[in-house]
Amino acid sequence: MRRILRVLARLYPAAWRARYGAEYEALIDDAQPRARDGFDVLWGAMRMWMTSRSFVRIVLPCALAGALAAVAMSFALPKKYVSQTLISVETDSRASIDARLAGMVQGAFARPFLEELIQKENLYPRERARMPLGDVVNLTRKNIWLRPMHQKVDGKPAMAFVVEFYYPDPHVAQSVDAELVSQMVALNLRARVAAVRGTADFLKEQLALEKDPATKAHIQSDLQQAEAAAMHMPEVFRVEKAANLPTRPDGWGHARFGVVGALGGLIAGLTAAAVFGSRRPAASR
Amino acid sequence: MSDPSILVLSSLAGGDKHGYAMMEDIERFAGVRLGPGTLYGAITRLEEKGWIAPVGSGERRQPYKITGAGRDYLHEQLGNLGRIVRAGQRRLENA
Repeated sequence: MRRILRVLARLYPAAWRARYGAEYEALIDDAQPRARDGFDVLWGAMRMWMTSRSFVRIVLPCALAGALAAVAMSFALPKKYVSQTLISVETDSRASIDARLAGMVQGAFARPFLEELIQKENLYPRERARMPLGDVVNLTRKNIWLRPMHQKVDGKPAMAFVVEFYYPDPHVAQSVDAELVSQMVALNLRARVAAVRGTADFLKEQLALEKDPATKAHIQSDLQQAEAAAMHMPEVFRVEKAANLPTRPDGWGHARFGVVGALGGLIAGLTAAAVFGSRRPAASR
Repeated sequence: MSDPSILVLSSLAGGDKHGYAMMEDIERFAGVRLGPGTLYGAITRLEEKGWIAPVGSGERRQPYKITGAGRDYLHEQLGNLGRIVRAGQRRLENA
């Protein structure tokens, strides 16, 4: 415990250590140290910093400068709004939603679709003026996020995901997000219908070739089920919450930037004060 | 009553002492154990205000003495506390 207290005593400002360090160590040597003395020394060191000239002259200005710089940066950073759509997935597949989503982005948001969307919504007009369209498509894709949601319905794990689009204009973000979701739902539906129709076509071919009446009856039954499934195609994707109109920009607010900047400045100021203080000659009595 | 400055001044009013002797004395007469950080925080403040002063020089266990200004301040503070104690006791008796 004495060793810990000696280490903690080094946290005091250098000028204070030069004046009181030796007698303070003598006290630590003489006293029976207790666990709470650690906090007491720590708190004492902090109070001494706060009342020291270094704190007022170096640390406080650094913290203030950090806060101001961070707030100024937060005003200068481009704002982005995010619109979100929550989609639940009805499926028998046990495959992970995370793996399925990666494929969906590639399939649903192919280049021709995104090019058409960029033109239709007049996305990124400045970037389009100075960048090839392929780069603008990539930029659009970077602002599309599909986030899997792991939730439970009636105690069973349910698949769901959120489609997000980030854009400087909240209305455009909402409109594009709705377009992205429509595209995903339409493509998914088309793929399901094609899969069931393919099964029906295969069973019809088998029925024409089959001679055995019993097997024919089985195929006939399967065919009826496949055709019925095609007639009543279940929705695979269900839009639970439509694309919202974001009211606040995404990310940190100015206040949070300010607090983090002040903390950064405080740490930098303390470091500077410690280095600066340790190089100064010992304070005389 | 656990203001470390008053406790340190009260201890030094009984004679010059170094840090550990003050810590022991305060625990004896007030039943309060001041931690090293609290004790030296009070010593630093009191010395800055000129209410205590180091005795001699160059000793690792540095003794301190109460100054005239420190005695005046302690006298004033204890007088205030005495009035509060008497008022409180009177009101308790009348309640």
